[in-house]
Amino acid sequence: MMTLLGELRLPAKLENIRTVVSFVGSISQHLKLTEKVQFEIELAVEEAVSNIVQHAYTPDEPGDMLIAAALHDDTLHLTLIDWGKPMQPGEITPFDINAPVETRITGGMGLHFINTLMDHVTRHISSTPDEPNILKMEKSIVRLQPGEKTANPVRDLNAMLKVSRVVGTTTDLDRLLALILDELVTTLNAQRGTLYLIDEERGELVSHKISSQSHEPRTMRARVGDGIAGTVASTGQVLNIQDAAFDPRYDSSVDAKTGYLTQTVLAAPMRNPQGEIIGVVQMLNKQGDSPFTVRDEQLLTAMSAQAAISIENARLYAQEIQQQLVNQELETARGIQQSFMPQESPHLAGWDISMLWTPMHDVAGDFYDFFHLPDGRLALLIADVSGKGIPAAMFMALSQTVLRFAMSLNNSPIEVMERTNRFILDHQRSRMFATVFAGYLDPASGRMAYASAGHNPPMHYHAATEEITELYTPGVALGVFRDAKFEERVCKIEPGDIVLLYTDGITEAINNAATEFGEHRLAALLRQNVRHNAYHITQAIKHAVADFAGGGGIFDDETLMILKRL
Amino acid sequence: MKISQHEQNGITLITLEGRIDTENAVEMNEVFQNLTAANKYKLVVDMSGLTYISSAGLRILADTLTRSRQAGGDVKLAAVNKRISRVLQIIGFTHHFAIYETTSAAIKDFQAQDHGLR
Repeated sequence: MMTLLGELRLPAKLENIRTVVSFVGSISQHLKLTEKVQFEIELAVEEAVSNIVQHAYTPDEPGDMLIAAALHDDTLHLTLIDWGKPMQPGEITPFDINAPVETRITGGMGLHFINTLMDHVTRHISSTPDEPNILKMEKSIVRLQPGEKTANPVRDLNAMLKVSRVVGTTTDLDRLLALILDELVTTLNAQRGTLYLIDEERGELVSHKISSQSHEPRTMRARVGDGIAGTVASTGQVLNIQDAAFDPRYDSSVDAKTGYLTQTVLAAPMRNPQGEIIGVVQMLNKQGDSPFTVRDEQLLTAMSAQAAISIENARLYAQEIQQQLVNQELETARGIQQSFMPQESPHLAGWDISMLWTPMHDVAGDFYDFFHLPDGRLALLIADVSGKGIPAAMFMALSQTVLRFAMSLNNSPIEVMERTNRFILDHQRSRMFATVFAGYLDPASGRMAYASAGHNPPMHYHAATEEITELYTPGVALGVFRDAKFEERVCKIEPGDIVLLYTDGITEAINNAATEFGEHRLAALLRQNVRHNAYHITQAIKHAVADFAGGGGIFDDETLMILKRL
Repeated sequence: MKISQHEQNGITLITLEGRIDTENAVEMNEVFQNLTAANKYKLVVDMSGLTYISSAGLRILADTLTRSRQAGGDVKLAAVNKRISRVLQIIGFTHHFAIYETTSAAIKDFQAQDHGLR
């Protein structure tokens, strides 16, 4: 399974190259990669990002770049996207490492690093202005054995990267905020700290975690612009306050409630890579009676920027997980839905029956059903539920259950429709409705009693006359009117005859010129294929509709059923 | 990144430390441009403290090598650590630059050339 590790989009500017590299660096650390692999990834990413910054955009036409990191088994996938000038084929000439330095085109060096250091590199070069350039790099990764340390004294001393290491270990936002804050409090030698995130809708700062030294774990809120943290949030400037008691921006009511005495305060904005302020970190009371220093200010600013990236990543990650859960549920729903419907065509001596069910989304509002009755007849149904997605699928399950129940009781087609109509109106308030065609086929005689509730009339091809008639009865969709009336009719399907049942996804498919596929095309197609078996006819229709829609599109589920009397 | 230089007997020892990436390569370029502009073409680069270098920095070394050799000088790389040496290898610099284990070995070689003891 592909796991998204993080994604970053920011302006393609020289000063952002390091942000991308450190973003990838923190991911490498999170993955506990060996020193060597970390270095190779860092170098390849820097070269790729530099290419975008220097060649894809110009100062007059700036733009963004996006980097995404994902893990698939033991391969790290890094994708870099830009929307700028595509690379020209001449710029990708292979770099000759043996040519004399003097004559060598040094421009190819970066690409040479990328190609050498990464295991697999693919490049999609944009051919139209709206299309992005995509560079995909894969690196199979070797993880450190437990107990092995990333030996880099320079980095270990670097408090900023310490934050990224801490935050790289979790993508759970609450835990992440707690870790960041503890790290900041320890590094800056403060007594306690608070981390506020901006609630944009309310224009407020919300405290998300008060460091472990505090006994007051409740949430605090402050308006952007008010108080110390609020001022930092609105101005974006670091505030280093020597004595809070004398500062007019300081709100003493909090201390009054908690009994805590605030003396020195250091507050810095947290900016995401786009430069927007997403929160404020506030450190209280530097230990050892001295105020916070200029170095503390710099350190807190740098660490806040790093923390902001991780917070944004955690948020993105949470969204991604959410999306994956929804997708999994949809997949499950589809499986359940499919299991409602017969998977195999019914076997009836003297008949060739085939069907096709193609949901447009993961789940469908269309359905078909058939089952054998004890007296040897075949009950069959085709229906189209209003709406799309999960609500339609749930409504479909309800409708199908009621219809099947009514038919299994051997109710007449009129009774089946009336009963289901009443049930739907009594038991669901979502104002959904369904068009249904229901019939009972006697395989021996070829007689079929049927009724329609606003459904597209099936087509009946008569072998003897080569005519096509419609199996139509008046009647409105189920779930609309309580006193709806239905009628039933009987048709006789002779040897060689074909009945085609379908939903409007077939006839309402639209081509480039906004023309519908329509019933006449469907009828013509049926006529052309009368000699073929039922399966072949469903496939011919499916392909014809897809070809017709081409660049236009199919906007609905497609369901078909073919009954051919041999 | 930290760059320091020290001149003795017409040979300039340049010490590169820390990270050289696309962003700060501009500063490195300035240092090397100034040296060659001042007709200093005998350069020894101490790379022992270099933790990272990308193509932006390597390009400057290659350009400086070209200019120095045209003027009868050279750029000699010294005390290259394992990680940087891999980078030099990948990009083929090991074929072109004279690389020495220590800065003193590189300086000695310049002096030997000066005395015609090649």
